[in-house]
Amino acid sequence: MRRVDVVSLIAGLLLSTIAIGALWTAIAGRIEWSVLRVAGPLTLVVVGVLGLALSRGRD
Amino acid sequence: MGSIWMVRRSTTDRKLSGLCGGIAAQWGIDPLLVRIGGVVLAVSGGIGLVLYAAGWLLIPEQGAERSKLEEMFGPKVTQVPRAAWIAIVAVACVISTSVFGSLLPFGLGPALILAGIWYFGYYRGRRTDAPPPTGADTPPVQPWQPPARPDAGSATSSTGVPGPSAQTPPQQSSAFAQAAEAWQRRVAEAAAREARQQEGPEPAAPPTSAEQPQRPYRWTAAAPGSTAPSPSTADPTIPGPAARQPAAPEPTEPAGPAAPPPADTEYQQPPWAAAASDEQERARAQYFMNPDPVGLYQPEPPVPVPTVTAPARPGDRPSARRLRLVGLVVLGLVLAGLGVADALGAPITATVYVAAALLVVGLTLVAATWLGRARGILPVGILLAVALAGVAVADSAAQVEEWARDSRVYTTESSLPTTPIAKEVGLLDLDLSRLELTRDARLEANVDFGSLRVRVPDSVDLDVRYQIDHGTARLLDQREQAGSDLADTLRVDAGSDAPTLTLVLTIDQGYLEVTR
Repeated sequence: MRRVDVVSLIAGLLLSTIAIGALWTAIAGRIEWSVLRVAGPLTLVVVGVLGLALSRGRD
Repeated sequence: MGSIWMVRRSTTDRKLSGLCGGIAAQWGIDPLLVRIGGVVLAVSGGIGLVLYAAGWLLIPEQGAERSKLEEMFGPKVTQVPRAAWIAIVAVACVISTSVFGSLLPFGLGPALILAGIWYFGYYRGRRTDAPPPTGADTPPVQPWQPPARPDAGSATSSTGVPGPSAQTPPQQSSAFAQAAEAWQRRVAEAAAREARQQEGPEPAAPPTSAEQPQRPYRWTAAAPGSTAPSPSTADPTIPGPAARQPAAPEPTEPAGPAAPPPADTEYQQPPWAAAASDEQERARAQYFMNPDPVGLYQPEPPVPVPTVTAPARPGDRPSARRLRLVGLVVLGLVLAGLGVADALGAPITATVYVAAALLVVGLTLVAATWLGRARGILPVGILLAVALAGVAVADSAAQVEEWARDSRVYTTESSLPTTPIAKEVGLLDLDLSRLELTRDARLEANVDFGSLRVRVPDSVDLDVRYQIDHGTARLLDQREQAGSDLADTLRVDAGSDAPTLTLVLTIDQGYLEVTR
């Protein structure tokens, strides 16, 4: 099994999420802050847990 | 628990800066737990981010002498006391909590829960498990006793060395203790041999009865000019048998060894005894000639320092380079397409350009998870993220002003609102330039954050009362003020019989402009 680069995965997911959010804001022009308050931290936690799991499996 | 000040960022167990790995190694716990705790702290008002940044800046790496902060700002950083750093980090945590606390729905609850788990589940448990040694618990220290001789009759031998049954200090396991023990053992063996030699020939040394010389041993005169080699002449450092008192041979004559031998006589030992004695003497002398027979004072060989090499990053693979090339091509195509759309009239802002570029880089990084990360992609992504933040803030400020623009035109006295015009954010534009007044009138307007522009008619007297918490006021090219807590009244007379228009304008934060 080829070794995965966890840093690339986490950074890529985070940067892509930020970019999609910025594009949505620039095009649609609306931000649901009530949704973002929960979805933002939840996304960070999910990405962090994913990175930890992959790192642990690699070790 | 080891002190937090003893933590060093790990160079082998690291995901970002090695801080969690270092803390886990210092505390002896699973690094995964430390990382989960960091994430939990991060969503608690951003405290985890502040603490992580502080640890990354202040804690040096394993094997390094200086921290990142010291590398950036020089050794002057080390002069700042530790309490000051603690205060700075605490203030940063408070600021982070006040800024991000309203955005994150979790508050400080996760941090408090984590602190409770750490204290009751780890710190207190360790203190209970391993209490500090007290005077009652500490075993009494037994003084080291000098070893006794094997014959147990005298404290020391003639050479002042202990015997083989010497009592050794308890629990000596250091290199020095082992070397000292070896030295004592060797000296004790030499003393035991000497003692046995003084008592009689060793059991293995004496020859058989057939080999025993028939001639009795006696002190005989040395032959003048004798060239027989003696141990003393063979090795000048070894004392010969003549220098010692003979004890073993049994004299056969009354005037034997009991009487002091004449000056011109020497003791003739049996050949087998002389050979054995010479051999032992030579070995012992050779042994004692070496001042450091066990290598106690030899300089220690240099300990090879293991060189910790970072694991090879899979970024130099050909697939990674190909991925970087593909990413650059896609990025160029995307930007070109946006440029064409912009030229055709589509509303493409700077935010869209930067966000599209960031999306391409982000997806390239995701693909690099399996294909390998080429150098430069991650720094470019971080720079684009920072640029996106700046561009988005600038765009949003302009858009907010544009979207929140509120323009109102009043031309008649009856159209003027009787209640204050209120606006929270944005631009409030009041056009009163065509207002027809037959009597005095009053208008109130309030903007919390933004701008308030009022155009007044020429044919009325003006009574402008304004109050600005923080901002700028520009009134009819007659008055311009900037600062905090601005409050004043401006009166402008247009004629003796003209009605008076009273304007009451308040702004919390922003810009006030009154023009004709």
